Amino acid sequence: MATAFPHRKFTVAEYYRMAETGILLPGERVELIEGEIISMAPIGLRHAMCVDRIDELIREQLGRTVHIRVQNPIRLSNNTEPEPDITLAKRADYSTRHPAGEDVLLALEVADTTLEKDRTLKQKAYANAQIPEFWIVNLSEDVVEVYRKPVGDAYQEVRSVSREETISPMLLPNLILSVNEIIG
Amino acid sequence: MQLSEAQFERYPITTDIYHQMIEQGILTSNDKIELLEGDLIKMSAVGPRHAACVDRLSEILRTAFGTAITLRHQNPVELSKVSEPEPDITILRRREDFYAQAHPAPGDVLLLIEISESTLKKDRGIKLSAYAKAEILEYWIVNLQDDIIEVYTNPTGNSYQTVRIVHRHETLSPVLLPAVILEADEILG
Repeated sequence: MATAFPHRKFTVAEYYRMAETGILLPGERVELIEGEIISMAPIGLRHAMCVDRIDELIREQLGRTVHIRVQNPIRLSNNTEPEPDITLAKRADYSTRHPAGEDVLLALEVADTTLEKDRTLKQKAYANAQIPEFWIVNLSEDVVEVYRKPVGDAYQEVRSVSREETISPMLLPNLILSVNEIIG
Repeated sequence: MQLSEAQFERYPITTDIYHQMIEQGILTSNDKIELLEGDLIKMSAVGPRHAACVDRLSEILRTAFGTAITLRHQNPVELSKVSEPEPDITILRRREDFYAQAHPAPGDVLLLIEISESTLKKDRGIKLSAYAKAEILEYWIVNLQDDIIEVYTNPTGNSYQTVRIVHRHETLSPVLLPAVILEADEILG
């Protein structure tokens, strides 16, 4: 459904009105990225299992020292509200607002069928919001892609971490994850 | 970063959703947009030459067809579940209520015309494919850039099988309204 012609984009406020008025139905799997309502891919078995496993690994090591958000919104600007698979945010009361870019310590996407979208659209959105670090758990190539140093639309530092290696988020050096455990 | 948009799927806007957005005031008359293939596409600004051509053409058509047809200018036509464009000119089967109950559907359309000054890519691209898919029998592009009229007939799939280029000094007639002969010179101005 994509075209190269300029089209109408939406703000977060309009996006919420659509949900409130039933234009977007409850349970509709969409996220708002740079004013575009983007359909989310159905969650496959391996993808779901991987998210659950990473959530467990992080909780085991960090307990309640960070805010762990699984497949829930973060508010990056007035036209971008994606739902990363896992967001690690600073501890705060998020009952009246979603975590913003400056709250996020790490955004993580698990990619089986969504690799190109995660590398382009998501990278752009997260870099623009100055999220300091972004990981793509790339299930098709069995690596974790680590993106750091957001500048403009992209991250300046990109590396792939393979099985048998470990990684830690820059801002959470105590969290040590083995790629084997992440990928399963 | 250049995003290739084929890499993700925009949530398709249906005509139902589009109409609800208008009802709820999320889209207003300030939004110069039309629904094409599930996307709310921004309309280009209408330049003076384009506007003049629409006016001239509607005068020509009105004179030629009188009240045998219903004529629509830059107003919606509901083509499918995901397309509701606003063609420059739509010639419709005559209806005494002027389609007050519902927007015209593809079967009501005798001829669609777009005036193209800066929008040729769109008119030959997403518009043409939306019109062909809806089986609009005949589609004209008044191509002001090249001073020709492009006549598309025989819709199949997302394109038209027959394309005729009409130059100045030539004449043309809509397939479904063959009795009337129009001059390209008059249309192109």
